[in-house]
Amino acid sequence: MPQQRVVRSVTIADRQGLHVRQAVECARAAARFQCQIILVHGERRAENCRSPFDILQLGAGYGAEVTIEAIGSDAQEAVEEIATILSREFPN
Amino acid sequence: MEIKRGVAVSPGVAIGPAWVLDTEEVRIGERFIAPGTYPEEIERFDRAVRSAAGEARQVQKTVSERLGEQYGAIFGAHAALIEDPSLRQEVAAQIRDQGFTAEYALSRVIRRRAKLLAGLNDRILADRQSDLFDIEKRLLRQLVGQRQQQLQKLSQPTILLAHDLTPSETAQLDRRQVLAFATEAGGRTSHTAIVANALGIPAVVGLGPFLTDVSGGDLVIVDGNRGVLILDPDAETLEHYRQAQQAQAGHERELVELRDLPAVTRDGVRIFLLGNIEFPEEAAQILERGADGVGLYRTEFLYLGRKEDPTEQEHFQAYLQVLRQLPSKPIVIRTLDIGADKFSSVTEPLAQERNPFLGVRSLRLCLHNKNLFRVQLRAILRASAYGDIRIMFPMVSTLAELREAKLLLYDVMEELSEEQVPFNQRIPVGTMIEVPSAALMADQLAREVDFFSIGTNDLIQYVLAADRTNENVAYLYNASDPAVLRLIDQVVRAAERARIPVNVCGEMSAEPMYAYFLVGIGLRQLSASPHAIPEIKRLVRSITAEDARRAAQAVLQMETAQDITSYLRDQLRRILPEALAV
Repeated sequence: MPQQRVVRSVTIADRQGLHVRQAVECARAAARFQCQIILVHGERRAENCRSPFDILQLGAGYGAEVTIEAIGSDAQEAVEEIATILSREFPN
Repeated sequence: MEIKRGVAVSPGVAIGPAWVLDTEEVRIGERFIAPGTYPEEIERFDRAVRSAAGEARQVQKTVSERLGEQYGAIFGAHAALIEDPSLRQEVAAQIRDQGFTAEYALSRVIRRRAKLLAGLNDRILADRQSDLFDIEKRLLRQLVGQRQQQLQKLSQPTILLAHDLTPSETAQLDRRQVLAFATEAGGRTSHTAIVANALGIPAVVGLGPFLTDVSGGDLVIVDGNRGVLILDPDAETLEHYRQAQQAQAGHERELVELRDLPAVTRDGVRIFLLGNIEFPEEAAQILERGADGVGLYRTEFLYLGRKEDPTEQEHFQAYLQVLRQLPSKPIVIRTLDIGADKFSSVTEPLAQERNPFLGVRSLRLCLHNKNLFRVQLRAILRASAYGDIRIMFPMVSTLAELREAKLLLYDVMEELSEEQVPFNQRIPVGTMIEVPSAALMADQLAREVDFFSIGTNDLIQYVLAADRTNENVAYLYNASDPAVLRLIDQVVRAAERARIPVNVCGEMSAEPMYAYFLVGIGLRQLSASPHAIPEIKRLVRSITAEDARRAAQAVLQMETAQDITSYLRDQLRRILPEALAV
């Protein structure tokens, strides 16, 4: 399979900002893919998208822009799935 | 280096490793593992992760069933955080590379991450720190549980850092192990502060949140003189405080030398210095500071922080506990001096009082609730069989009130006699003079009691009709006020005429400038918090009773509090120049 590099930006839609449960869902999703995934918000980066801690540490509040960058054979699907989670509104 | 400012409640400087006591009291005892044992330590961390994650998932299940999936999901997320690969990697690296224990490494990693979140300048995100601490606590409980035995004894003296400490926790601190303490909560007048002061442990309270910035074992400085906590001090600051500590040690040595010397003026007048105590644990301080006995044993602690009123046996044990430590010294027990809200057995709620300080409190409350009062009187009398116990009634306003209290005491005595319970038939009975009416009637009261004790704190507020905690009138509350000093003088004269001993047990006794005045008007007993006693002894040993008498006579002719304060300060500057420098 060919290697791909996919980059996409999303806006945090949940009023609570990027929260614990969302971070955990992202990390779980990331673990299902082969590719390497990095999240970037301003100057902060989560180098390991399989770590909910690192994702939380982005400190992305409501309305913040987060860039998802993935490199690997399944990068396209990974970015799409993570983008869906990040731009979703969670029920309280 | 980080400097936190709080409220200085107990003086002194201490430098040492932090011992962080969090709300659930999971403590990190050791920072370092034995060399070469890191693989076992990392394995220990991994085991803790498995059990803690399992525990969180169990909570998730229970909560989901009870409250619904979305609430349970929070704990599912916690489980995922506990198993976080980055967290594990960082902790393992610290264990391997720095030789830290799993607890210490975890605590450092979590605290660093929490601090990053707190620094994000977003309130919602900052609140998320609490999730991290929840995870930390879960993991620590697993880790600490594995080695509870090893943690029972601290390996070295530490500085205790906590969100808050209860007065009884504070009273039980081992002064050899706890160099100082600092708390996020608390204020100047809290019982915790009073106890710290009495124990002589430097303390700063009311610092606001700081526990997230410190890990167990970090070097910290507590400056109880200025109310400052310094985390991770730089070399210059450390040096400055080391020097301050040495100076303090010199001063303390001098005070220790004073301990075994008598409190006698240069012209040969013996002054009895007694200690005020709040908790039985403080009795040791009486001996350590070279006091002649307990001038005021407050008994309110028995009622604080509990649901049910203490039993007669609990009262009795608390009194014996002090007696055992001071077998040959006088111990003056003051009967309950609190408001109605502290009693659980006072079931009939009193009407809301518009002015509680003029309402049903102290002796008034006890006389309204005689059954409750009898419990304490019985216990005091029983204790009197074993040593020099004396009983003192607070807040007496009239002769009739004193008589009522004494009548009840005799009734309880009779009851004990019938039960053939031993007690001292001639137990000295005294009254506090802290209400102006009692001060004015001192000559009459003196005929019916064995001693007086002047409670200056309340007397000042009642004489001047000023609440010192109300900042708009606090300027009126002044121990130097001529009305206050004249009234105290009158009480001393009345006691002299009736030939009964009189003592001052308010804060005035602890201040050298007022102690000088009090000796000058003829007081031969002063009762102060134990830590103040060496200083007062030094004063006594530096003066003559004759000079003090002349100074006091001059003071009694003065017009204003300002005149008196500056005159007494001047006198003191001549006698003890260093006393004012502090």
